[in-house]
Amino acid sequence: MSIMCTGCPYCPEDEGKPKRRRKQKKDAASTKLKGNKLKPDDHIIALAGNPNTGKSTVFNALTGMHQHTGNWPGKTVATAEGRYEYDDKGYVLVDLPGTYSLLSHSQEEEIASDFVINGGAECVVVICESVCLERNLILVQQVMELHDKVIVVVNLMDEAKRHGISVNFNEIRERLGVPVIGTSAARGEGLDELKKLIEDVCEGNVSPKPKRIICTHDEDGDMRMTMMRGTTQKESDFTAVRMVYRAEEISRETVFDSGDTPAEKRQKMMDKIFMGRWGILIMLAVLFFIFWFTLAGADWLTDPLQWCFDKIYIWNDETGMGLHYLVDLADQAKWSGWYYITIVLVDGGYLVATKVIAVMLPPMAIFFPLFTLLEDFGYLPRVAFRLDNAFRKCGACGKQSLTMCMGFGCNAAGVVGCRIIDSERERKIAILTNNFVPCNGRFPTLMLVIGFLLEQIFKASFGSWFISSLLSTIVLLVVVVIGVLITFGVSKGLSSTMLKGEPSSFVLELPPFRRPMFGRVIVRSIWDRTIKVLGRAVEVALPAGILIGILAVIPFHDSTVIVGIANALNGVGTVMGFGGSEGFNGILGGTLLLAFILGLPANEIVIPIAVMILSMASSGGYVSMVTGMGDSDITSILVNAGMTWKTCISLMTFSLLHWPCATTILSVKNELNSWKWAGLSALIPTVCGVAACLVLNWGILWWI
Amino acid sequence: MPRLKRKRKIIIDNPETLDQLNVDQTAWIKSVNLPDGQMRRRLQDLGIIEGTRVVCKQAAPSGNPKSFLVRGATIAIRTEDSKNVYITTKEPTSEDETQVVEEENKTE
Repeated sequence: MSIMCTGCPYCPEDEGKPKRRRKQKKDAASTKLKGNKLKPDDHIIALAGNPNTGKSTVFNALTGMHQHTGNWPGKTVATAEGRYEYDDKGYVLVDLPGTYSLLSHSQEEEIASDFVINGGAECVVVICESVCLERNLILVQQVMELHDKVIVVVNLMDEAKRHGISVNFNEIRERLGVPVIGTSAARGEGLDELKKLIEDVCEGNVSPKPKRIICTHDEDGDMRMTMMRGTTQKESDFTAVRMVYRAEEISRETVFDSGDTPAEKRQKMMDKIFMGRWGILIMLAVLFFIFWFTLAGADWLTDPLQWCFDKIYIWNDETGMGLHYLVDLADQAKWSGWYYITIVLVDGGYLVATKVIAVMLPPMAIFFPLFTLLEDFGYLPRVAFRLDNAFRKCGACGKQSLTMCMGFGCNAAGVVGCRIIDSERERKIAILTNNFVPCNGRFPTLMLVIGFLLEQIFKASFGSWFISSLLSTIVLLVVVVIGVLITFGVSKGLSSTMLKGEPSSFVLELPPFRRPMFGRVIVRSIWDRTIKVLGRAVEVALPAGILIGILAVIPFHDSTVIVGIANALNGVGTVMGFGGSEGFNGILGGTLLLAFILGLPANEIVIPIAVMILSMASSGGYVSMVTGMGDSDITSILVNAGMTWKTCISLMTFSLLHWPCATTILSVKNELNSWKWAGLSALIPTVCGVAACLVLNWGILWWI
Repeated sequence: MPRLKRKRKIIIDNPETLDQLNVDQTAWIKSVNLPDGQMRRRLQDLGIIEGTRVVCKQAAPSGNPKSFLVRGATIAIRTEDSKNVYITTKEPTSEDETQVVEEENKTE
């Protein structure tokens, strides 16, 4: 559509637009779906359905896998595949992205419709939500037009019961001509029946005869799709209207709503609380409590963990037993190479990896379950609703709040999650600004620095654990809010310079509040987090530690290479405000900058690396690295290096605003299919960070 | 916290477009007149067509976006889009509905 044409509903030019759009979108959705059979006689089953109807829950329940689930539309952006066996036959389940329709040209809908037509699925299971079955029936009809073997699953029947809704399955079966079944996947009800039904349909014991209104049985898939889409606006409107009316008619005859129930009143009340005038304050309060639990709990858990790791390292100070004993042993070996190898592995690899686990695991293991509970509760779409106005003013999409929230967990996940934003321009904005919310890897860094900062300002400890954790939380909240404000600012800046354009349409479904499955969520996400952090520790922290170990054993002038590099960077670091107090002629500035650079693979390792380098430098090199590490308390190492509250401010600023981790940059590259945008996603926050540090250090802090 | 100056709520007795619908008010869609074909389709997919009953559920403090109850689901739409959706607060009789269907059939 040209810019001049504001367009009438029947604009013929409109037809040109989807094609262009399609080409753009294809790049991002380059991975075509296909069901991978494990055995040749496996059946491929596709799971389709509206967003947020519990497809992932059904998928998990059937396959026993643990795909991430959550109560907000658009959660599953990447498709999952799983296999289960029933009656000695294998079934490959393909979880399609949630769509409201198969006829539009958005990325998810292309993927879903493509798979239904050409994916070779023997049977398509359409998951419906009981409470708005009427709307779901529109998609059911579209799938029925395209595929012969369709099973309709009405999920969330427990919720329907609470809402006083009952469904006449026989009548729907009669009217649609396909088998219909009710389940409550989260409770595991009706799943055996579903498995049986899938078997029956695949084996031909039950043969669905979908009653179609557009297509006959003769056309092939692509032809049917064209028929349904229609060649003109009028035709497609006609199809849409007929399907909506049919859905309305069916639901009028088969779904019975007995009116207001206590559950509905509760929903209304909760909506009033969370969406009312104090909504923003409640939002901050919720965030505050999550941070507070995380901070207080992590404080409590880190020390014992560190103690355990230290004990393994040096079991007994006098005898020197423990892992470090290997180094002593190797020292006596004939070949001096052994000595260096053990020192690199033990003092480098082991110490950095365990430090990462001790510092990172507790906050993550606490934050994630809490956040997942919030997600399951259905709060995130409400946040998006509340913040949409601000995002609209910045020329961005309200769904960016959802991707921002995902960014708290992991920026890379947030970047991929940006697929839920339909407009290409707004998606780019969301991707480029995702890094401005501190991800879980940067959280512990911030927490540590904040703790240190408060201790520095108030000199002695507070005596009361309660007050200190409360204060830290407030500072953390301020940092996060600043991050969100910067997100707005940069979004605004991008949409008025590089990514000019008007904010596009925005449609967001607000799901009902649901009670999260507390037990399962907590156990599941703690377990997942632990595995993930341990994996990262092996994958990233261990190599980084070994690298540092190697750099630390290579002599350079009168010190080692790593100290030399830190020395070289010291000037830049000091200008940016990382330098310590005046009395110290240390290399704190260079060390911290080097830690950030070495932290490119993963933000988690920034502080552990800095601490390692500092303790090495203070003890004059690798030989007495161990004595430096004897004092494993991070705070005292930092104090000895001359860290002041000014350093803390700069450190916090730069931690919030610097290049994202390598995984995130790669995700940006994959999502936007260009290194230019990936580079930009690293450049923008870095420029912001350096500028902010310089301004803070020279403009404000210098005068104090 | 200082009491924020509240915008005077303009209550329109007889809303003509969807964005003017007040919270807890009910209306029926008269016509969907969106310039953007994509958005039009999206609304159709959500079941927003002529004759659909909508109830305004909530409004953001600024009045934009608003969320509407449509066929059992709550859907948030921005004013920019909803101002192009014309509504009537009078319930259409079943005759009106059949008329629409007949008209559609004629075009076939």
